[in-house]
Amino acid sequence: MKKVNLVLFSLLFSMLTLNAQEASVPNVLNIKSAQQSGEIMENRKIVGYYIFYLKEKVDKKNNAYVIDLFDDNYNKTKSIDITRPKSSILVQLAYNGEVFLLHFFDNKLGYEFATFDRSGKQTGSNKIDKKSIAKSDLMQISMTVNAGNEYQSIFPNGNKGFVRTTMVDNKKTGYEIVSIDNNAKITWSYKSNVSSTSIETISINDINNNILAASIFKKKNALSKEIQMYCLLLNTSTGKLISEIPMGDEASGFRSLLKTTYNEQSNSLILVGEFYKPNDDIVKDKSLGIFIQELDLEGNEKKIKEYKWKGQIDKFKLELDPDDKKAEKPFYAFFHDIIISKNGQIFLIGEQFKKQVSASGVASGIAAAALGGNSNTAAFEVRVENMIVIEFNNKFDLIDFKSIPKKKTTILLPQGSGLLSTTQLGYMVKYYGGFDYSFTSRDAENDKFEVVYIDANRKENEDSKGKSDLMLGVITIKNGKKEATRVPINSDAKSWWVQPAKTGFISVIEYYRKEKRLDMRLEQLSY
Amino acid sequence: MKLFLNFACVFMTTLLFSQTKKDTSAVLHLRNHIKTESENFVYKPELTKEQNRLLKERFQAKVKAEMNLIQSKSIIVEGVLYQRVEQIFNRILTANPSIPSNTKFVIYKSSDFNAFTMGDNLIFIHLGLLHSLKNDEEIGMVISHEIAHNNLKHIEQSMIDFVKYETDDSIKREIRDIMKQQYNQVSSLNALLLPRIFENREKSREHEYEADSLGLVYMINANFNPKKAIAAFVEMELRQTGQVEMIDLLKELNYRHIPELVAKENEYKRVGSLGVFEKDTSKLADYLATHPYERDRFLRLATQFKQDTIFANYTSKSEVADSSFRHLLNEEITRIELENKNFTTFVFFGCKSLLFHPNNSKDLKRLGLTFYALSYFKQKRIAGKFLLMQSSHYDESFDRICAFLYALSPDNCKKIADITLRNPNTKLHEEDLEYKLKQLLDFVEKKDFTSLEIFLSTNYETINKSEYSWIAKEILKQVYQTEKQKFLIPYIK
Repeated sequence: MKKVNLVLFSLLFSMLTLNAQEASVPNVLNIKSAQQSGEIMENRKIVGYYIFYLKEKVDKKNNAYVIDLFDDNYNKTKSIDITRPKSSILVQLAYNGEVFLLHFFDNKLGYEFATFDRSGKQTGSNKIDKKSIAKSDLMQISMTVNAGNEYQSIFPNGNKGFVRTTMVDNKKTGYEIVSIDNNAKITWSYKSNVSSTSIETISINDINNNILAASIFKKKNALSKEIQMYCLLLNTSTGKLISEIPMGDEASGFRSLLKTTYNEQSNSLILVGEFYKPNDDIVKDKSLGIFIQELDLEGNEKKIKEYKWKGQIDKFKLELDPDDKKAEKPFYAFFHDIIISKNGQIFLIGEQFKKQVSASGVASGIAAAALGGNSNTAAFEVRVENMIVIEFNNKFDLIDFKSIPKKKTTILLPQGSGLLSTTQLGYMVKYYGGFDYSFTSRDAENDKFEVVYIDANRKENEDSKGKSDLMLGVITIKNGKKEATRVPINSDAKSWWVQPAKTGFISVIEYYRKEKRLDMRLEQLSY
Repeated sequence: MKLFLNFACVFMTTLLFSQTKKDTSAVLHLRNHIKTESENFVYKPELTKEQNRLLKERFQAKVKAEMNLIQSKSIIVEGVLYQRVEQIFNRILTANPSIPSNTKFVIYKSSDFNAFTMGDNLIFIHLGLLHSLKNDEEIGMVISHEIAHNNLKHIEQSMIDFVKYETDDSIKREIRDIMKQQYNQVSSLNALLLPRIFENREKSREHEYEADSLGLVYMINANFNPKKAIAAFVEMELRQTGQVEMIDLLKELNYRHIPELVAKENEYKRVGSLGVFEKDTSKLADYLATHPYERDRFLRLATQFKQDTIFANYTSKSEVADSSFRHLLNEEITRIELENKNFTTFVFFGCKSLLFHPNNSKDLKRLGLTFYALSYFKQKRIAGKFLLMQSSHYDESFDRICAFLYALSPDNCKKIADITLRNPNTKLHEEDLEYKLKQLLDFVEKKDFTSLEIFLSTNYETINKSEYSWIAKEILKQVYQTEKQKFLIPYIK
């Protein structure tokens, strides 16, 4: 009797809350379901957010889910009801202005790519059986999902469709770029050489104006120290190769490609990376400095400039903490983003890091050896240091660089990481979530960009006695001028987290267990 | 108006209010009134013994809720504002002998556009409804409608229906079976209960038509202009469909000579980032509404009482003579919104108030101090908790205020506060609550904790009893978080 009344009352109560404030989701039964949420991106800009949660079990094999879509102000715009196998996980939701593409992963069945139009109607579905998916791809997605990391393999391709990247089993591991239309049908695909004797992997940097730019890594085998990098350019309408540009050669010196971006103003591509001495190995040897290169859309070089760490960029050191003895030692930079402001200035956003011997790594190695076993922890760790902003004018002249201090953090990496090149080490640190960089929000129309990172120093200022719950660092680039601020974030909720939001804001998501309520609010990052 | 569902809602709300003030004679009078009415519970011969027992339980719970409500701080039962509404109420009562002469009303301190009755010859009228309706006829129509619900015993009928559902063994059995199901629990429950809920809504809609019809009879008997009374439904439909004329409320803040602030205002975008989505017309929202479409209600009434049936010919206008009444309503509603911890609705109603009374000292002081507080909240990144991003309950001018308040920087907020307090009518005096809150903010900003401690020991009680209590608490919480000043602990608990 009591149970029955409870059900009736719950039903009535849920109706009464239909008109509750849009930024509050009632009846969220557990935090796990609430955390399956993310941003909806359109042309590298956050245009909304989604929450994916379980509604009910439909049968032995299937569950009914609901996807709530919110605009960038957290106004609920749409709910999509879907039924999928109970082991389905929504790994990514992309939006191209016309349709939403949902990528489901099912550990038993494989992948499904489903498109939904703005009315919530399913417009297409493309299922890929688990047997047809490369093991390396499955492994990567499982690891990313299990670690709770963001998985991004799908990118909007104008409003016509999307492209996604996947690993394929060639002679060795290769990659494939697949174009999907708004009905989830494959329109073209581009594969790495099937008979290639190298392991080839891809990282898409930018898709714009019918051009896809990606970094390609090629190496003979998993343990090989010889790595070659290429910049791949594809026509996104046809999938035809425009160019695969090698990053240097032995005679002139190799280059590592860290970031590529499309420059709307000059209708060209900007490439950024590190360069090496002729005959140097990009794994073993230290880079000489960084390069910035401009290519036309056919892949032809328009200009290139190189800046050496020594004598040109080493001014960074002057800005490091003078009391920090370790700061004098060499460091590397990992570049997270390239921002091009309306006046043509180019800002490279990076983070310093360096390898150092790890006391705990060595200790666990000794302890493991004493017990007759092996430790998986490397004997060194990576120390993540300050944020850096390197600024160039439109002629690629280095005009400023700034080191923005933040509390140093360290990350232990698995054994074997010591063999990696600095570029790969940077990617490894990124993969393990070791960098403090969080995201960049872009509002190119208003020439405003915000780079957000976490500062482990949670004190608002030096004389503060208490600490905030979270301290964010924000680098604002507005009308070509940069400014750095620190933003404390506090919450009353026991379970809460922050998420990227529209430019100028951060989403604070708070879960109140007693009330079973999820509140989402926006707080301004810079004023 | 919303009958039984509102009863559930109000019942929950009343549990939140404690009995914090001494009962005035008016409240005592009302308590006796409810007590007398509650003694009239009559067993229904058509119900079983068990059903009558449950009905009595529900009846007692309802009486308790009513009692709690009238003893809480959330009602107005006397004063000038009350007396003004009482004039309309008494006019209806006097002209209609069929209405029990002991019928009473209270004003419920909520900005929602609503009114309700729980039976017992007692009507609750929300302040937000009085604030939105334009003239005596429209207010009278709503009062008459609620009186009609009371006289037609609709609440009692709804409670009987609810008890019948509750004791329906077949439903209970089916629910129990569903709960045992491994799959499709939600869908099965929907399939079982929604038809019953729709049926209940249909009945509820019929009740609404009946109350509209009888309510208009009461209005005509009281010599009110029926056309002006029916215009209340036009007002309701325009509100629901967002067709009300957009008023430039932000101009009341007098900042338009500052380009930086105008730029912030211009950041407002009417269409959301994901564009406009079609409304789900097939979904349940319309069915679940207890009230029929306002247009339908209007047409039924206009036809029945041989009034003009062309909707466009009805426009409601505020009456100039109502100026002091409007003033009181505005002042009360802005205070309530401030108490409700919502900067956006507070600024919305504050600006609306200034629209009628541009130099109202109380409104200006409240707005000024609220903008100072908002500035501090923005610095600490907690403003988002107390700002709305958009609301479907108000017109577009509300959305503009939402966007504007979100876009402001702490300095922008201070500028608006300064402009507001620069008005000759808003000089802060030592005895003003706003003066005290400003002092608190100044000590916090200057990190003058010695003065803050002394200030709190003498002034906190006064602030804590006011509409600013939550603002003071939030500020002190933030100070404690960063400065760990132990003397703050008792104030932030």
